[in-house]
Formats: sequence, structure tokens, C-alpha cells
Amino acid sequence: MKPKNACLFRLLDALEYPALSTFSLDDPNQVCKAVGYIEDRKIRLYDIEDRKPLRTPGQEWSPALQKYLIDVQCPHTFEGEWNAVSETARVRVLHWLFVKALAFHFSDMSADAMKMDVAAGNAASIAANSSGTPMEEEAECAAREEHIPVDFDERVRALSSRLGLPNPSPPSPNHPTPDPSSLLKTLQGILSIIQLRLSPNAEVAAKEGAVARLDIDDFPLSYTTHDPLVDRAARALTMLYVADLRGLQTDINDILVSAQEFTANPYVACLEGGEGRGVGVK
Amino acid sequence: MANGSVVRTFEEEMGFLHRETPTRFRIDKGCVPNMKVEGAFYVNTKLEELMFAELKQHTTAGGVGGFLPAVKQIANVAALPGIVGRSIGLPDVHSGYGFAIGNVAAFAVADTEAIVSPGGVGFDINCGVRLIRTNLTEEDVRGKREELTQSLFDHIPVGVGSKGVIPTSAADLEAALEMGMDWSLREGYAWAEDNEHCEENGRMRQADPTKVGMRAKKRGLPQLGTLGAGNHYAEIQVVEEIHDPRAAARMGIDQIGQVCVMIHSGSRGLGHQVATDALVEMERAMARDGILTNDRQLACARIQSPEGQNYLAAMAAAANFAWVNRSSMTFLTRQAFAKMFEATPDDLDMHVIYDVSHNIAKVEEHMYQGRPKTLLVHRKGSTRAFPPNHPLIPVDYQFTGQPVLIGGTMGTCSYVLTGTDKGLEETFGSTCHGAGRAQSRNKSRKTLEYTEVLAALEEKGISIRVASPKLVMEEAPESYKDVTQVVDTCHEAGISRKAIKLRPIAVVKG
Repeated sequence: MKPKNACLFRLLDALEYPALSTFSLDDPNQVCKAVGYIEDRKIRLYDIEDRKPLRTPGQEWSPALQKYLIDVQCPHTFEGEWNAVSETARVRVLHWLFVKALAFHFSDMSADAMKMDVAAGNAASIAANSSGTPMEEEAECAAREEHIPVDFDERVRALSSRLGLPNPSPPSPNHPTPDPSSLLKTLQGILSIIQLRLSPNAEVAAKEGAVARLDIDDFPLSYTTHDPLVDRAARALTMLYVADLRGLQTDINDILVSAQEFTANPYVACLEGGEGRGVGVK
Repeated sequence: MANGSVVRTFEEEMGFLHRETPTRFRIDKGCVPNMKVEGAFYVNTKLEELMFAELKQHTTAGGVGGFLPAVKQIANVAALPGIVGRSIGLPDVHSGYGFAIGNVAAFAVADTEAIVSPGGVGFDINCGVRLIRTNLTEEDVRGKREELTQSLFDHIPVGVGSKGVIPTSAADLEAALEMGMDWSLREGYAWAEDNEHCEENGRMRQADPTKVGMRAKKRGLPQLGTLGAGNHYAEIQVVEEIHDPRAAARMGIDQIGQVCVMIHSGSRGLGHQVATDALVEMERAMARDGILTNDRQLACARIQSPEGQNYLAAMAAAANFAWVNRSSMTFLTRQAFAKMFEATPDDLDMHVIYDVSHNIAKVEEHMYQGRPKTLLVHRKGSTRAFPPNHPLIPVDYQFTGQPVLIGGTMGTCSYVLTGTDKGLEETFGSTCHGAGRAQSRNKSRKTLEYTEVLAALEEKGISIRVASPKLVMEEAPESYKDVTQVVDTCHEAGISRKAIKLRPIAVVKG
């Protein structure tokens, strides 16, 4: 069953809130805990020592939250005790706070992703993304390294530059040989570009004008989250969704054409002038 | 009180009209009795003169004779039960049967009082326009223009009493009424991509052929795949201007001079009979349910009544007929081009860019007063124009907005527009449909000579084949408003955006 105020749950889920299962809008202790979490982990407006009133349930919590809403420039506020406020007003305040936190969360994640791209030797992130133990991972990487030709790194670099992709992490003092995981990521990028732009189907589509280059910021979004970064992410997701939808529609069309082999038998009678035909004036 | 309107002076009538923006007027409540909502209409300075001249003429005549002026008709629609938002007149608005042609009105489906009106759809149910592109240029057709026009005329049955050349049995008709363009696809008269680029994918699923009367079916059966007469036409056009290169590229239009074919047709006698039958049924329902309207021509029934549901099911079937009709003519057009250029339609890239309906009522979800609401949107002489990202437009146009095809009058230019967010907010995602008549058919016949009209077309370098040349003056450009003014007003008002301008080089008419 859809939980009450499902949008708040969805936002907390996106914020990776660990106590999601026990969160309840009607329980002030739970709300206090969630607000404390987003300030601690996502928004980080106050210094650590100043966050205590916001994280402490009790009589002083409502004034602390009111002050916080002013400090964080929330357009919504409330008077008196949090519990005495209408549910609609409480949802409005929390919704705004969670969306704000999500914008910071997204901003942190995109900054991390940028660092991963540029930093040399991103072994830690590989370990974090791996299902195996760090030791197994290291052994696997070493095994792969044995099969990489000496100039493989150079070749991948040249190809990715040609395709306008970011280059794999360069060798560093810690990794004098090319990092296989970084190379693998670049190769996956190269593969995607080839499938999207250089496959026979893509070439036909480009000739037909079906592929128009689009700057992501020119893409019409039809709504705004009031955060340029989140808007960009939304645009990217919509574009990916539309690309998937196009693929699905093409598959459907292929099936319909196959079915026509069995059902279609177009026939036209008396093409050279039938009853009731008009007569040309020339 | 005739037709629900009080006899007032022109100045008194003008007291109810207020300019809201440079391109929009509001019609206040009180303009006609019982208005539930305000009215509004879009005009620029030139079109405004025509609107007010019509109103002045009506007041001078003391409100007697002829159709009501469009302003009054828009206001009368605003007095219908269950209407929401505003009764909207688009820049090509002109007097019609009950509803003005170029009028949009939405009714809340959940409201038990809300109505559906055949007058709000029009007699030619799902009359619409389809645009087919080619990879030919004006240069490619220059030496073959006359021959090509003749070939198109030979392939597409045109004119009053013309009969379809695609063999159709009674069982085929039943299937076509139920399945719309899925029938054409199954039988091999349409390409899979055609359905994708058509409103509703060329099939209204609420269609019920059993709700279409025998007389309507009898009229429709021989007419499937025929162009008809009146303002319907098939034109060979060339791209004259590209206003939005990105949108044009998505539609496969990438150069000035590219050749396209535009087909403007509807549901022929079948749709007309469905509307006529429904009007009779609805008059009974109005008396039974005590529905009062300002104008007898606004015959209607509650959406949820048996009469309302019967009409919607029959209208959907007639809409399916119109799509099959346009698909059949698309098939014949592809045949004509293939023969002339000795290439397959596929090689000539003869894809349907889009197919719009400009006489229809559809159940749609809209944001109304900040909340989603299910509405029955009547568009009579008005085209749906949904913005980018709308779930009901084809995947290919998700980035550009829905293509809106605006057919000009015989011999004048046509346009392709795209839908906008502003249009969705202000006009339930609707925009104009064409030039809009400026003088009646009778007046045109009296004031114009058909030979002059044909000579003028020839002078412009337009080939023409017409089944009834003596009726050609009814459709002369002089009989209509200037389509460019209409389109520019929509663009300026922001309810749709100009993308492509097309110029005719050949016209085939009934």
C-alpha cells in the first residue's frame, strides 16, 4: 500500500536516510531525527556544535526548527508547537527542506563524480563499487594487467580524444602502469558512442535527420526544480528515457512490419479513372 | 430575446469586451445570459477589425438573420453546463453551427451536469490535415509538375459523389470504424510509422461501430478513401521558410524547396450523418433532462447520459473512419509519386510528418486550478497543440512539441507550428486550424468568377485539378482570412510556435 505522504518517503529514500522504515510525520521525535540527519549530512548550514538544539527532541525543538527555517531561507514557517501545526503545513515545510537537502546531495555526488574522473588512481572507488573483497579486486586487476599491451593505454587515449570523451586516468607514481578499471570505463564510453553515433542504424538515422544534436541546456524541461544542477540532471534523465522509448517504438514497428507479411494484401481497383472521378480543367 | 442574446447597441456590446493582452480579449459574464465562465478570444489588430465588424453588422441588423457573430457564439458556449476555464476563440474563429469554428471548450467529465455537444465537434468529424514529406526538391519536380498533379488527381478520388478505389466490404467498414488506422496497417495501406505520427495513433479506442447508424454506414462505405469537396484538398507543397531549424530537422525537413504533400479531408458523409443523428437524439435528451441553452443549435446531452455516451462512441468511430480515409489517400499518393519518379515510396522517404484532427472532442487530463482534472475538450476548427514532454505526443517530437499543421486556403501558404507550455495553460493545449472563413460561400459565389480564380492560381505558378471548377470561388483566398495573420497571432500570443512555412505548387480539389 502506498504510505501516507509518499513524496516525503521518496525524498528521504533518495537522501539515503537510514531510519526510513520508522519515519512518521506524526511522531515529532522521528521528524527531529530526520531534520537532524539532513542538516548533519546534506545541508550543513550550522557548525557542528550549533546543531545540537535541532537534533534534540523536546520543548526547545520547535523554536530551534523555526530559527533553522529562517536561517536556511525556507519560504514556509510555522508558529507555536510543531505538533499543533496542520498536517498540510508540516508536509509543506518538510517537503521544502528535503528537496533543498536533495539539491545539496546531488551537488555533493556530482562533485565526487568529477573528482573520480580527474583523480589519479581511484582505487578506493573501485573497491567501493566492487562486490568482491579489496584483496580479490587487487588480484583481478593484476591478472588483467598482464594482458594489456604496452601501448594499449596510448591507443585508448587517442580514440577517446577523437570521440571527444574524457581521457582515462593517467599513470601515477602509485600506478605506473595504466589503471585497468579506468581504461575499462573509457572503453565502455567509447562503445556507447560507437553504438549511438557510428553504427549502421545510427548513420541511416543521421541521414534521415532523425538525429539532431542537442545541447542539454537547450532541452525544454517544462518544469523547474529551482536548482540548475538538478534541472540538468532531470534533463539528462528525460533524454535517456526518450532514447529508450525510441528504441522500444522501433522494436514495436519492426514487429508490426513482420506481422504485415501475413495480414497485408493492399489492392487498388480501377486506378485509371473510376466512377465519380473529377475531370481536370487542363 | 432571440438566440439568447439581448438586442444592444454596438457600444453596449463592446462594454463586455476587454483587452487583456495585445493579442487577447476577455468576454465578461453578462454578454449573454447564464454565462458560467468568461469567454476569451485571440486576435491581432487586423483580425480584430474583422471580429468587430461582424459584431457591428449583427447589432445594426438588430440581432436578426444569419449565424450569430463569433463573439456571441463563444459567449453562448460559456453558458453551457459544466464548462470549465474559459470558452476560447482562436484567431481564425468565425461563425459556425452553434459553436463558432475556432472555438475550444472543456467540460469536467466528473461533473454530472457537464455536457457533450455535436455542435462543438462539427459535422465533419475528425476533419484534419496530414503532411507527408519527400526527399525531392522543387528542382526535381519542376519539369514534371503538371504530370504529377494529373497523376495525383487520377489516383485520389475527388469531388461530390466520388467513390473509393480501395475495395471495402461492409465487414471491412465495421473493422475500420473500430480499429481506425490499425485496420489500414493490418491491410497494408499504412506504414507502422504512420500510426506513430498521428494523434491518438490513428485509433480512438472508445469507438463502437454499433452506435453508428445504418444510414451513416451506407453513406460512408463507398466514400472511404475519397477526398470529398468543399475546402478539402491534396496539395503538393514546397518548404518556403524554416523558422525553427531544430523542430524542422526532427520532422525530416532540412532544406528550403523540399517537397511535401498535404492532405486535408475528414469523415465524409459518415461523419455528417453521425452528427445529424446525434442532434436529433440530443434534442430529446435536453427536453428530458431540462438542459437549457442560449441557442437551439447548441443541442447537447450530459456526458454521462446514454445519449452523450452513444455520441462519443459514434464520434470516435467516425474519427477512426477519417483516419482510415486519410491513410488510404496517403497510400494512393505514395503510389502516384512512386510511379512518377520510378522509385519506391520508401526510397522517396514519404513518411507522415504528422496528422492532426481539427474537429473532435477528446477526454484529456489537464491541470485545472492547480490540480489534475479529467476534461472533455471540444475542439471545433481548432488543433491540439501539446508542448514538449507531453506524454501524448510521439517520442520523435518529445523535444520539440507536437507538430501542428495549419492548412492555408487554396493557393496560399500553409504552416507547421509546434505546441507550447503556454498553450497548454491558456487554451487547453489548442491553437488555430487554418485561415478561417471571412465571407460566406454564397457571397463568394456572387462576387467572384471561377475563371478569374483559376487564372490567378496559374499566374502564381500553381497547377490545379478540380472536380467542380464552378465552385472553386467558394474556396478562393479572398473568401478567407489571411492565414499568415492567423498564424502570427498564435505565435505572438505564445500558444504555438512557427516552425515551417510551405508554399503550394499543385492543388487537387473536389
